[in-house]
Amino acid sequence: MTHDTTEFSLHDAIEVLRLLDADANATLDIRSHGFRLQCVRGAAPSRTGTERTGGDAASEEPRRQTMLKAPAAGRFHGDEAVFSSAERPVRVNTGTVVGRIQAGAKVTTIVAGVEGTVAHACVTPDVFVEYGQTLLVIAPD
Amino acid sequence: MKRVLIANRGEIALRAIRACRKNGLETVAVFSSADGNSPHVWAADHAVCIGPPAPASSYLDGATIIETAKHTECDAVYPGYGFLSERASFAQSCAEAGLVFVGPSPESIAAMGDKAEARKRVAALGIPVVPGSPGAFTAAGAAAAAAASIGFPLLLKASAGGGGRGMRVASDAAAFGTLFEQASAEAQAAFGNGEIYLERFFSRVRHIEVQVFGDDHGNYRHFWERDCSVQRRHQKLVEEAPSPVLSDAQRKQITDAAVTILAAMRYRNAGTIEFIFDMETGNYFFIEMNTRIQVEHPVTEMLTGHDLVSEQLRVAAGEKLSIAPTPEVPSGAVIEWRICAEDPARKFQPTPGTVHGWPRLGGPGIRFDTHVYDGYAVPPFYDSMLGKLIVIGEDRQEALARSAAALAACADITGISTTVPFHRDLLRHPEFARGEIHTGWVDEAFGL
Repeated sequence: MTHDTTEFSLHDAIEVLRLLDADANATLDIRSHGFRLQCVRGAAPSRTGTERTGGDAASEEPRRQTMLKAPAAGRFHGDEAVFSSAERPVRVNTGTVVGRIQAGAKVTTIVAGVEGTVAHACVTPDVFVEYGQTLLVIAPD
Repeated sequence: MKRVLIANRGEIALRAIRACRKNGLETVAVFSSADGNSPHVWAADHAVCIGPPAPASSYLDGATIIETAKHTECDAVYPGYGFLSERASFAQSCAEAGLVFVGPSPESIAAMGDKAEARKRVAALGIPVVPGSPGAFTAAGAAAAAAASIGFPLLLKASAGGGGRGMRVASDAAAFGTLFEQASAEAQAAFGNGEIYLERFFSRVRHIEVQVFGDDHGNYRHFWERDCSVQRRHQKLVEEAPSPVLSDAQRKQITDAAVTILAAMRYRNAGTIEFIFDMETGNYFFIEMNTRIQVEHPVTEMLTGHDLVSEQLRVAAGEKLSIAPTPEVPSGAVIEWRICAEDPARKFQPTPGTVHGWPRLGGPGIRFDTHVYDGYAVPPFYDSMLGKLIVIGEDRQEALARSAAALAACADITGISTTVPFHRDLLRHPEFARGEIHTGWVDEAFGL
């Protein structure tokens, strides 16, 4: 903590973690007073890495997991084999089309930026996604 | 209407959210990744990040905004000013998606958005229009003949634009070609349409605009005028009402003309009809209509006591206009000062950065519409306006005195440069104090 930050106690942190753990969703997006906290189950870095919202579509995390983020907002249509497959692990290659985001006639194709194994699908195949929302966590080879 | 998507940012987004709340409507804010710390995101009931900072990929992305509105179960879209507010195609897309566009019909936007077409329609009503080209041009060569027939000096204006963007003054034929190319390129960048139309330029006139409102029940009304003659390079800096130069008879002529235009168009919702007024002859000429709420609408709200944004929502919902003008212009005087992140000492260059010492202005006769807070980082991607200080007094002198006190309270703003020092200089200028100005006065008096 520095003098520029609001006091945030260990008790507060434990309470947040308890609430997160009790939530059934794979992702949790909390916004309050100008801050945004996006939590992705199973995607936590081992040390202090934090996810930057609204940044590049893919970013490297400390534990070599790559977040594939939505490059646009709209209705997400994910590849069933990647996003709903009961069979894990699912592999993706660099350039594999894993889905598309549609807003009216505008369609944005979502491509895996790395080769590896899908560690976690953060959304179901047919949902609305925001710009910058994490879609997929990939553990690169 | 139960839930409204606010398709804008900054102070107008906050203003719209307040009006929605007052009328029992829920709101959905949309924001770019550069605006995550903008108060409209927290003020709305819901917020959705729709894209990266570039306006074309966020606030101008109509398809994504409509998809977001459908997903969040909105039944209306509030466009505000700028961005998609005057795009007929967006209003049409909203209608096709089953969303109420809180503004005029796509047909009205298209008709008045085409400046040459608008002048033609207004001239047909017998209302004087500024002499201009019969159509718009994309190349200087094709426009040269029209320029010669209208005569110099000429004003080159973006056909699809407003706010001074894509606007140049050509004093003679020699400079025309270069200025046309500049104006067209600027218009293309700002509005996605490089078409330019030509108008005779009057250098010593007042800019008088009339706030108008129509509904679907045949009611067409005006809410008096605003005088927006304090401009720098065609960008409004200060607005006031009532105009200090209009006689009662001239005011009646101009406001009657505005209502005639409104009724002829069967116009719905808020709009502004702009005129230039020649102080020497007393003649007025229609220049254009803005088919949206204006930045300076609080001037009218303060003068008349009406909530224009709430009225926009009611009329969009199909209700009758619930407000009416008084028979005489209301007593009092209102002045609005646009506070922008610009450096007056450096040709009003934008100055993005983190704001410190942001004032909380209030008290009798003071209204401050702003989205800025202490520590707010002004993003470099959007309009530089930080807030609007609106001051009312029993007369112009009292409004000026209150303005001086309020602007003095802005002296501690640091981190960025603002237009406050310019406004304080303006207040001290005897010609401004006497109201003896015209649309080219700021450029002349301050050597800009």
